[in-house]
Amino acid sequence: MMNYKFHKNGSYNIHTIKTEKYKNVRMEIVFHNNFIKESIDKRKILFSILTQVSNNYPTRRDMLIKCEELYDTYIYSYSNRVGGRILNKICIDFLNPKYVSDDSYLEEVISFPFDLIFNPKFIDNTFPKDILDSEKNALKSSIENIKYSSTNYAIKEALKHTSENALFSYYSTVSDVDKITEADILETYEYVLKHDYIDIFIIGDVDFNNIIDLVNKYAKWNTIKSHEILSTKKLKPRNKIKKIKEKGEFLETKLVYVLSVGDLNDFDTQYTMNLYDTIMGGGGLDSLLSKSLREDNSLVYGVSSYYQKLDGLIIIETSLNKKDVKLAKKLIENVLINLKKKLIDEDILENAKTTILSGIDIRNDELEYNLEEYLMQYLNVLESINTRKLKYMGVTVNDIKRVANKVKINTIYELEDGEI
Amino acid sequence: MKIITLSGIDENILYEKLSSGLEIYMYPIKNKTSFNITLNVKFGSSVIDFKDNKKNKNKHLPYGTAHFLEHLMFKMKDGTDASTYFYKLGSDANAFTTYNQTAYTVNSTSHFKENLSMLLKYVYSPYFTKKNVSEEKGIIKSETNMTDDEIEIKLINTLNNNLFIKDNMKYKICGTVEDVESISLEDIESAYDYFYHPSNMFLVITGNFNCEEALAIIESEFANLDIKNTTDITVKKLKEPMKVENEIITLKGDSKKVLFGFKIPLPSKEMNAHLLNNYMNVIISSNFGRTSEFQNKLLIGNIINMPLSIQVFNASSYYILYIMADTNYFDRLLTLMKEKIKKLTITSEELERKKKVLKSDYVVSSDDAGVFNSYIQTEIIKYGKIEPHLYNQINGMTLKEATKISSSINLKNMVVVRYKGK
Repeated sequence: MMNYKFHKNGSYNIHTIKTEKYKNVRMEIVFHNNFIKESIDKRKILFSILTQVSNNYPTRRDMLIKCEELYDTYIYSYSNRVGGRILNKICIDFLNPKYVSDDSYLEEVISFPFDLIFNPKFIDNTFPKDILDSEKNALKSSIENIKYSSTNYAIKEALKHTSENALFSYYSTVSDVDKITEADILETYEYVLKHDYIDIFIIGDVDFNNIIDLVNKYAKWNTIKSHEILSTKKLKPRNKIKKIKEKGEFLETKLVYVLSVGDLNDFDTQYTMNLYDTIMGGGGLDSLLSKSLREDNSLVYGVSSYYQKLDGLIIIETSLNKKDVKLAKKLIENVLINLKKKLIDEDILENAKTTILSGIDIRNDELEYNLEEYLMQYLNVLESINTRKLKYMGVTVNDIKRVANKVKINTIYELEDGEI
Repeated sequence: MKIITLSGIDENILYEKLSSGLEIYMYPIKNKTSFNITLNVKFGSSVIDFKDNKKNKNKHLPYGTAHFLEHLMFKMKDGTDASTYFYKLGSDANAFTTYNQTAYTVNSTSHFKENLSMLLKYVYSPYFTKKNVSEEKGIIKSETNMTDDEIEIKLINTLNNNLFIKDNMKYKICGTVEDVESISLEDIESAYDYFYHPSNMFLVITGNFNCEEALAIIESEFANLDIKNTTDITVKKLKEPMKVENEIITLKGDSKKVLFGFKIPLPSKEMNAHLLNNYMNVIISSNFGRTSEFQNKLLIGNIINMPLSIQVFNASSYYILYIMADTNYFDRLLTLMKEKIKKLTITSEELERKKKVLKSDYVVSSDDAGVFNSYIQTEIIKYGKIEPHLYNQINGMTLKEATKISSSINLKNMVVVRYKGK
């Protein structure tokens, strides 16, 4: 049983979710705004710096030692895109105070992230260069490391060739990160404090009256925001399929399909297409793609599909031997054609519904997932769990066939295996 | 039913052993929706040579057999895959193989009886044919190639191949493509017959379920099974020398990832294994972990680009330590590492802090059905039993003992794997 309450402050909101399910507590301070490509790397670096040092904890080591002293409290930053919105979160996971005998523990833990945010370490009125350089190094390394994962690299390239300027194909580059200066990070810091929407989510079995008082004591935002967050443009179907083949240095060939899902109404966007994706490739070993490529033909270890509803696309990816690519493409395209032409068995649809509804229930035990659930509902990305379950149950085989006919192959990308 | 009370966290694990020899560990957790069931075999990729004592015959399995067998377990006599049954129930069913264990897992929120029954049915009703062995080879070869395409897995496999001399951890869990090709129906049947007996297995159930109901289901299923007599086997154990093959291995490529591996003789032969494990974790963390001066120096000096990734574990008669780094300055990192490993230390303040971390992690993990299921599996595979006084053990750790252990840790047996060139 979860008891959700919304507390509007003006310059920020507090969302509390009371539940007895967990022995730990989680707080997420969510900064969100429009996704503007030029600001993304600066935001990532800024939030990473903010969760590593402050005036009270001048080195990363000082901050981590404090975390251990607070019974292995875990504080970190995380960023993701939701449609046209960028979310930068400062997350803190901590042991429920009822397991700690120290009376000052709760206030220390709650005040900790706010100290990092509002009391940053400055030298000469800006962020220290050595810390910035260290963060830039880390980000550049993670950008460079994409090319060593055939899956990540192939998906990145497939999306780039699909639509270079779309938000869904945006990836950071080393050269852009190199250009970032201390002044850029300072400007970004001042901007996010003043202009980002701030929502603070807290979930756990705690005295929320006390926690809200503590948050209000330490949170120092004082601007009201009312600007619009723009939605992202969805992928439009293409008349002619774009086919790209590149040589890689991997043992297996990577094959990626990017499909456009066409113009869908809200119900189909949220529910029907999700079920279509589960049936087609997202349902693990029992998906149509898995049955065809793995079970019936032993071509692959795994084949998966991912539906990105806010971008209006589905990605299919698999690894296989070069000699099997032609057959695999034929099998994948047969699955897509059959979904358009024939009504699937009712059993297949019912199983897909069971998978999705079960997945919702299984994740219900996860602290992070439950918090994310309320965040997504607040941002109008998801309806309530009960509503979703009812609506999924209402999807028919005719609905699946209808949306199947809107799905079109946009891009086929092949990263051919080569000598390593 | 025996109750194992876990001191300090006020939780109980319930234990039962069936007449067939199957051990059952049950850990119900309040306020949870889902349950996790794992049926575990004490047989992993490192078991290759063994003796059938009844027939007085030495037996050998190709590398990768345990993993291959895991794949085939899902094949049913009626031509279906067991995973399809679980899928229809909305359950998440899977399996994995490690060096010492094969585990068949189910995670769900409903149909407890059906899930548990089916798990027992399909694992204890093997169906192996030449056809399904042949068909599965293509899938597993693809899997083994995929692991070689992942930089970090490639580093670990290469390191293990050089760190270990006789221990079968030297070899990839899934085997090479050639190993997979060589596995026959007879190998699969042999592995199953010798190792998949209830007396060599254990069941772990955690989360939202009723213990009495679980036992009733298990006993009912076992009443219908034709369990053969236990086999009398001796697994060949090889004494692993502490030396290593080559200190520095260079792979072709431009990745900045580097993996250090250390083979560490047991720092104490007298100390309780659990307690030693706690001290090892604390000492390694204090010297190489995120709060260590060593790691801090590497990060501030830009010798490494991101925090080190560290894993230390007990490999029965010795310890293994892996440290993975991302670096633009391999030579400098190697120099600093060689300097650091000469002496490990720990202060009183570090020990007290690490004790807080261990206690907190134990409390939080006891709240998660999946995490605690894994914890129980590790306890049984590594130690053969659950340590009920772990919390008190942590509280009782002393600086005197920690200092003695840290001064006994020998990190001379080191192998490094790195990439260089295009």
